[in-house]
Amino acid sequence: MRKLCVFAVASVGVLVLAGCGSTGGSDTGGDATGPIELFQLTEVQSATTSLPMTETSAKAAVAQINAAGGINGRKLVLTTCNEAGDPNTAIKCAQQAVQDQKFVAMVGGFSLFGPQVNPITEAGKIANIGLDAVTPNDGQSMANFVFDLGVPGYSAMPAVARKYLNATKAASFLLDSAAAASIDSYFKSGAERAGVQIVKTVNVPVDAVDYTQFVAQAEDAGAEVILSGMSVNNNLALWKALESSGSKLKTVMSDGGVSQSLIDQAGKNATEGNYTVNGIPSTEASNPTGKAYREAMAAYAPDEKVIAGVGMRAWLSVHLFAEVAKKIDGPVTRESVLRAMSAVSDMKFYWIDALSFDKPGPLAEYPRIASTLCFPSKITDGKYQPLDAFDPFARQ
Amino acid sequence: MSDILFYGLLGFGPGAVIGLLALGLVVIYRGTGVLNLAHTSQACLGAYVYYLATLSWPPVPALVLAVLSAAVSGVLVQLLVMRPLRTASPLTKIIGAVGVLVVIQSALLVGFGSESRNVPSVLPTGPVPLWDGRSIGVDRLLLVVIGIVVTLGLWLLYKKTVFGAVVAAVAENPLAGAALGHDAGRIALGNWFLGGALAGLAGALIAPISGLSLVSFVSLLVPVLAAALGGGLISFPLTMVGGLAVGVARAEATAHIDLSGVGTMVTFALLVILMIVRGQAIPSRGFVGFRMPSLGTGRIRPPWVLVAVAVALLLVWSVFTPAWNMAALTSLLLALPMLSVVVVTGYAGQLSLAQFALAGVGAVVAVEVAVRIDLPFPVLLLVGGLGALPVGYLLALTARRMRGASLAILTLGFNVLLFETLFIRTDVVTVQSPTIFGVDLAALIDPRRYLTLVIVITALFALAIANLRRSQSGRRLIAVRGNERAAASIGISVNGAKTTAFLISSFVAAVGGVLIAFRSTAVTYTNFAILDSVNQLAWSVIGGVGFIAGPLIGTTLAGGGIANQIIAAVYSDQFHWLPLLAGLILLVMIIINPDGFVAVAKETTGHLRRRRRPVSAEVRPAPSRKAAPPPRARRALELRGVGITFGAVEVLRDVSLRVEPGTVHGLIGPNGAGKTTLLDVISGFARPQTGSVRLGDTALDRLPAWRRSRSGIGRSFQSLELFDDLTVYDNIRLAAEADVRANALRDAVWPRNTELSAVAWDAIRLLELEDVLGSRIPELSYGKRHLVAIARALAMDADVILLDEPAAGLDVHETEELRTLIRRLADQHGVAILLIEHDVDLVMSVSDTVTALNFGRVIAGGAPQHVRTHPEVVAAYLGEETAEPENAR
Repeated sequence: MRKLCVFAVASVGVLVLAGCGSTGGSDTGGDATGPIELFQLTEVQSATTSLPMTETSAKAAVAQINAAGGINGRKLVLTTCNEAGDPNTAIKCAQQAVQDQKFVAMVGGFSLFGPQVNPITEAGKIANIGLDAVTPNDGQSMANFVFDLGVPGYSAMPAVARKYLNATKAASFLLDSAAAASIDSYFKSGAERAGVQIVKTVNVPVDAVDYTQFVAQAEDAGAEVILSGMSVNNNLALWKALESSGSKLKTVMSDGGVSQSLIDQAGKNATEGNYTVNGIPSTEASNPTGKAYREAMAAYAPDEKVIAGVGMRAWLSVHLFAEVAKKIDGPVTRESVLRAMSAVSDMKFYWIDALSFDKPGPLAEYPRIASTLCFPSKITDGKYQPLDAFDPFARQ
Repeated sequence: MSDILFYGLLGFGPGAVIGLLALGLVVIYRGTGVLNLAHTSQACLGAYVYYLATLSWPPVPALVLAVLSAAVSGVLVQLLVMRPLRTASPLTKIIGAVGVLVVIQSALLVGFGSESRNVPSVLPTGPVPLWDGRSIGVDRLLLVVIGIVVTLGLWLLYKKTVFGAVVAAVAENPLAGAALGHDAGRIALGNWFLGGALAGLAGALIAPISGLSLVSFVSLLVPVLAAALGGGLISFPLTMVGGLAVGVARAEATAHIDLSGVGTMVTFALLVILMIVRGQAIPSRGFVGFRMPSLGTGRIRPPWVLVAVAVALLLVWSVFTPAWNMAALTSLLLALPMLSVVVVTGYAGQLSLAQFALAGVGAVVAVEVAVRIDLPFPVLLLVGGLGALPVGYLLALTARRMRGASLAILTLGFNVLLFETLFIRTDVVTVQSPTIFGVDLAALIDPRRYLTLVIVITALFALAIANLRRSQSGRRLIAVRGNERAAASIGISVNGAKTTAFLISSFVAAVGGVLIAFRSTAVTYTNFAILDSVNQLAWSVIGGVGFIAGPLIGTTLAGGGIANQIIAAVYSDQFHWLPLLAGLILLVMIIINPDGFVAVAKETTGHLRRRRRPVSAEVRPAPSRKAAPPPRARRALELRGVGITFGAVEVLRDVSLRVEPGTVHGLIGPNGAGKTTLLDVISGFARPQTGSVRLGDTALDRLPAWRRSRSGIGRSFQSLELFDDLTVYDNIRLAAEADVRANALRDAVWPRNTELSAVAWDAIRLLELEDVLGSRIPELSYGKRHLVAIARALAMDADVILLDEPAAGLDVHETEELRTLIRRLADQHGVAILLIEHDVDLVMSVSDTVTALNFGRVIAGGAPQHVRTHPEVVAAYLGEETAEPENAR
């Protein structure tokens, strides 16, 4: 018994001493000749959010780039990790990206748990390129390189309502969630800039069954338009409530809260004349970016039915990585990619004439968001009809 | 005013839907006693079947198919899950329902994804004009009509038909029902079929209004539970009223109060009000409590704990890769708050679904303090732990009035309220990475240091909880868990014990929550989501909530934990069917091991140990060496004019009697005379409308049962009401230590070993219980259990002992011993004894005075012989001797 205790105490002592040692990581590069490994952290499938097209789209870009010779002769390989709507799994995915030194960058990301993930990627010094800025923290973390407006894009919605619907009074619909407060602040700041008054803020409970009462609240307050910061599932319920109550109110929604499939489900009556706002161009073939994306998807995944902005963003992020990585002088490693991304200056990238990450972006609070252009669309005859892009943060 | 009317009207539609869902929940609960947390997911299943069917069929046949599908799902749940769990604890059945929820949701996710779907309505749609240009959908009004019709139908079915009567009978007493030829299993099948059908109907009616998605149905659970509670989980009309009330209240609140989360607050407020109105204090006579999960002994050898910690640290620092360390950290961070479940549910028997929410409270408190004041991390842990105590106290207050399913519902509602009003409302907070003595514990890249801290804290809490288990405080918790009435009768404050359990568990959970929060420098509280909380509890139940190792093992199965890591190593970490597989595993494990994995392992290893090495004679606690205390002056018990009425029935009327110290007072009378009720009045379990009860000069009328017990009233019960989870020794020790002040904090650090009093040893010897002191109650014969019940009553060294049919089930020898004991207690120890017995010879031979009751009145009183020959007593109870019939020879 005594020996056991002595052994145990000694073991613990040794371990404590060992624990005081450095835990810093050692090598951080990939092999100079083998494939270039990329990592994608996204919501492939969960009860709340399923975006399998983000994985497909990123892989379509990988296939495209490899077909064109890869990065200076080196093929790209993409590993996707599904955070499955669970913060612990998201952390595990981020840890995997950081711990496994073969991954030189993260691309095409979509995470609901940015505040938990970003500190890890920042500490691991791995560039997270082209992620969807779903939370405010995504636009602030120094390891992130965001080329679309992301969540601050909610600020554009009042301006769209003013410009296309002549609305000066709006009701904002927010789902009771952690994001509600920040979305509300974006609506308010955007409304102030656009000369729109938010006459009613409706906080929709997560377990709301019938949205008719909320539509009635908006109408009673004198709203001329509804700005919705809610998710896809809730927006369908809103459209149905508008239709069933015979309301004339139109909606402006984030593109992330709408999809072609949703429009098809809701029907033309419910969706006609409503608007969406996106931080990247429409996926319609009428614009060059959308056209290129569609062609890539048709080649890689001809059976893929969902062609959506969130997929196109993932596809674009891989291309952005490729363009930057091709110009790296020397081995493509985690450090060299991070350095190169941080040095991007006035680069022409699809619709962005001068993409720069060497200085903070236009939004002081979100320095990692490089572009503030937004792309509204009108839903006409069950289809997206792209409208002119504009910058909601530009001085009027 | 027209606004209020209008929004109230708008609330009826959703309220009817909530009521319809709640009706199905009540059908299942009424018929089977199961709180079906999977009910709304069955509704979701029905909705998806309806959606699929409408792609090819018209809405009406699609609706029929949806209803039938959901009904069949109910039958399958009963056959495959609930029937195997029929003898399991209510908590295990709840977790079984959670497993069903996970399986259904995961299967639907695999089949349909999370995308929303538009579903055509079976009801006519279109606006119905109201006033001032307003309108309401005609389908919303029809929903109310449907809800009322279904309610009426159910009411008629259960009130006016044989089926309803049989359901009520079997639910009350399955054994008695079986004796009358009613198969409880078939009755349960019928109720699950009907409940499932109602879920399918509700799902098919909701989906066209709200759109069809997985998330929307699960989130309806709490409003549905609130409505079900409105009907007390029994009344169909009141359940529908409850649903309508929830719908209207939420509509009015969200329309007129500009406050985020007001809908949820209103739902929760209604839930609390309903629970307070319908809650019940001490269970009434005959209630012996639900079966609870098996318990560990709390015997831990600290050297082995030290070795385990050392081995764990060796693995962490020298063997595991970072991925494995992350997985271990995730599992342990979930396990630590769930150790609180061992205390509050395992030991104290309180079905709390709010433990993980308490962890969140601790996290919020610690983080808010951390961003304002620079404190060392260990102090923050303490601050977080203490910060959750007020919330734990609130939960304890609710637990005083409700138990079982009701308490589970309320704590779930608490969970929802905390999440909706506090956790998701808090912005991301950036904190400094935690340090201890200057060592940075940040777990962002390398979790080893943080994991080391978590391992050490977990080990410390495990030791503390084990100490609690073995201590006087722990015994009191277990007594309350086993039988609240009996616990109160031996001087245990049931409310006090529950409060202790909730406070301790709140602290443990909250410290765990702080550790979860500070794992990252950017803190959000999404970890404490409602379904995640229930999932962590589910894993803990699988491990075994009565055992400290239970949550430690169970939570390895949680997402991102060790089980995930094993699957990733063996197969792939991108296995999309993993949630479905996890749900199935949850169900299989809980069916095979209702008491948890640790219970099975313990039984197996115990088996193997006994086979390898025969068990030596059981070590029995040595009798106390303390001399018996000198006899003290005892007080007399006096009742004056006691009268009590239950409803319209007058059970006791103007009963007066006096029991002097050192005497035995017999109480006889036919069944239903009010004898046991009189004991209930004396011991505080029934409040008389008239009269008084005094012990010496002390009026007992305002004192609760446990205080009367400590004042000097001891009691045995007709139905024994022993503590099955404790040994004979501990049953008696609990009574003997009633006057010893328990200190849970001290017990957690250094449990005190209280000895039995000389009086208790006296009773043990006289009742020949020495050989069974180490046995658990279920291992004893009925006769032996009776003796234990008597010994427990005697061990309190009370001034007055109330014995309720102590000779029932005893053989002649044991009865003789009992007679000797009773006289000895009176003659030698000066105790006053009030004895109820149907063994007239025993009563008459051992009593100094006898009182006879009939129809609640005293019909005779005095010396035994006088009462025995009293004409009224003879007529009502004893009967007359008759001549032997001629043909009997």
